[in-house]
Amino acid sequence: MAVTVALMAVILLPLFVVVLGSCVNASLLGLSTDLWSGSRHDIFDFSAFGYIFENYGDWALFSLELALGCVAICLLVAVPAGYALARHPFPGSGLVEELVLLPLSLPGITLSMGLLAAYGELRGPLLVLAGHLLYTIPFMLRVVMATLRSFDVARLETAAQSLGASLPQRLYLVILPNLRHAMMVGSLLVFAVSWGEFNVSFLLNRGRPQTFPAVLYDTYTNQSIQVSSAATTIFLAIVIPAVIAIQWLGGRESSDMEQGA
Amino acid sequence: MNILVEANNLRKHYGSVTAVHDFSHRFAPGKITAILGPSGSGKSTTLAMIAGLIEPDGGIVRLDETDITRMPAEKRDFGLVFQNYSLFPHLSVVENVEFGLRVRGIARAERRRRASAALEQVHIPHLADRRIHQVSGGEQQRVALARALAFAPRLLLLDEPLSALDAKLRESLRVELGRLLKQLSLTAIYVTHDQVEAMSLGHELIIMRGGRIEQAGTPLEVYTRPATPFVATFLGSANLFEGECVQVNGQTRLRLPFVELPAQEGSPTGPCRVMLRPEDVEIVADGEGQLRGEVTSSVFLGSRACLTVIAEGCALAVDASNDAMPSPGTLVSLRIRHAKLRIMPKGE
Repeated sequence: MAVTVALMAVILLPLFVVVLGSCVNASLLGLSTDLWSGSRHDIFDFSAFGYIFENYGDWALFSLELALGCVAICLLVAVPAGYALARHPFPGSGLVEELVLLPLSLPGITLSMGLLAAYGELRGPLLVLAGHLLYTIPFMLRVVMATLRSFDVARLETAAQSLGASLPQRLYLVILPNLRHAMMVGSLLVFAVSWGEFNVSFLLNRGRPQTFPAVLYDTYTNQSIQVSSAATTIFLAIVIPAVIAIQWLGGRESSDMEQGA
Repeated sequence: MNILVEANNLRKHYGSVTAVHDFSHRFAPGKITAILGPSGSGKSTTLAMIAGLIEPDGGIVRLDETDITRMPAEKRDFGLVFQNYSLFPHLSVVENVEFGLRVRGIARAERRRRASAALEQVHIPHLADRRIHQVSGGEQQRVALARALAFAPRLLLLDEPLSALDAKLRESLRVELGRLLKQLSLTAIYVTHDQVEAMSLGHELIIMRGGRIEQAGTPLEVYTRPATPFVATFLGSANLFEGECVQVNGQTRLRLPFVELPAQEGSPTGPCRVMLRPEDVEIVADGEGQLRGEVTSSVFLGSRACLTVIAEGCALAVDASNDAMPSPGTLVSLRIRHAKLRIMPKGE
């Protein structure tokens, strides 16, 4: 218990300090005023958030679009692919699975250089999207396949078939409802990974807007701590609910599986 | 309701292994046919070919004279009950039962009515709104049965439906299942490795071994007149001996290693194999029997006892009542009900 509390403190304290740093006047505590760009006399000041929205609003929007695009494409591509691999394995399908996972073990710079060398003329948002997909498809595929294997999809499909269900009916009435959880968890993971991705986005993009993690880079290198803390706070406000939802859904799913038929 | 199902030379290979060799049978309409065999005998593969879940490599499945060999499983209107239930975990009990009606486009109110009736049939109407993980194994199998019956299937196929349950529950469900199936007079095929299930539920029995039919017939026929030594030992317990039928003074006599008895009429002469059920050997008072032997083991089985008696160097399994259990070392006189002896051609 004590260890857990200590670990939580180590992990959460920096986040807490960053959030405070975005709006609490540290100069009143006698700390350096370099940290503070707001009014000298107010304890709270939220002007840094306004500054971020004004100057980097389109970056945030680009990042959101990118993350949601990844979610949509992963659902459309990785779910059917996961179903096909789990339901109809073929000689070498294990290798295909491994290959899809490979990008996760590559440094972003390697992947980016590879993409640039192959599709250099596409450099820009489209190539960023491609880079993000290489990092996010494995997550969706893994979650979907693990679920399909855990409830023995072939068995349920056979039962549905014996009851008169055609292939579309089996997919719509049996497979997809049983994948709902996995698709939600997968979507949140994909969203969180894409939203937080920096290397590939930074290297493959051309000009502005950049993705939101680049705002952190930009503000930490060029702006006051208050502004960069505000950017970080916005970043966390988007990603932390997603992470909590993943935990919550994951927990619910595993308890369903334990009790399941 | 009385659908005629016929399998003709059904064959299935997996690589170089032949799972089913030329399975041919006309299933009795309105009756339960039990397919019995050890694991790997091809019984479940045969059932899956009839169900349309496995495509045969050869042969024909006919339903009322129509060839349905290539018809997809979902078009056959056959109800299936699996060993592992295979219920849909995302649906409630009643939604599971409604599934077959739902995919047939039956309106909600009507399918709820029919699903409720099916749940009544299997005595679990009170579980309708439960989730699948909230009902026990025995109840899940009732749900699976209701689900297979709800859409009024033309044929009911059951693949080891009770194997996953414990002994006590298996027995009570077996009795209930037998009553329900007989009441519905649905043509049913029941695959099992349990001889008690097969004999008590099946109007007809098919014994399979190594992908082939060893024998088909009523349970009584198969039990009393097994076609092969395998059937004799697989269905119940049996003593098997090498013997010979010989002509003595115009009469056919059966010579066994430990005794000579009159053979049944029409028995061909020559070497043969002979089956003797343990219940067809009686312990009698000294001097009344045909042979004497020494009891070497005596096992109490509750309602009866099982003895091993050595006579003329041959071990015989003998059934005895549980109130007269001779202890090992006792000499006993035995009488063989020779009309019950089964003489089989030698060869296997």
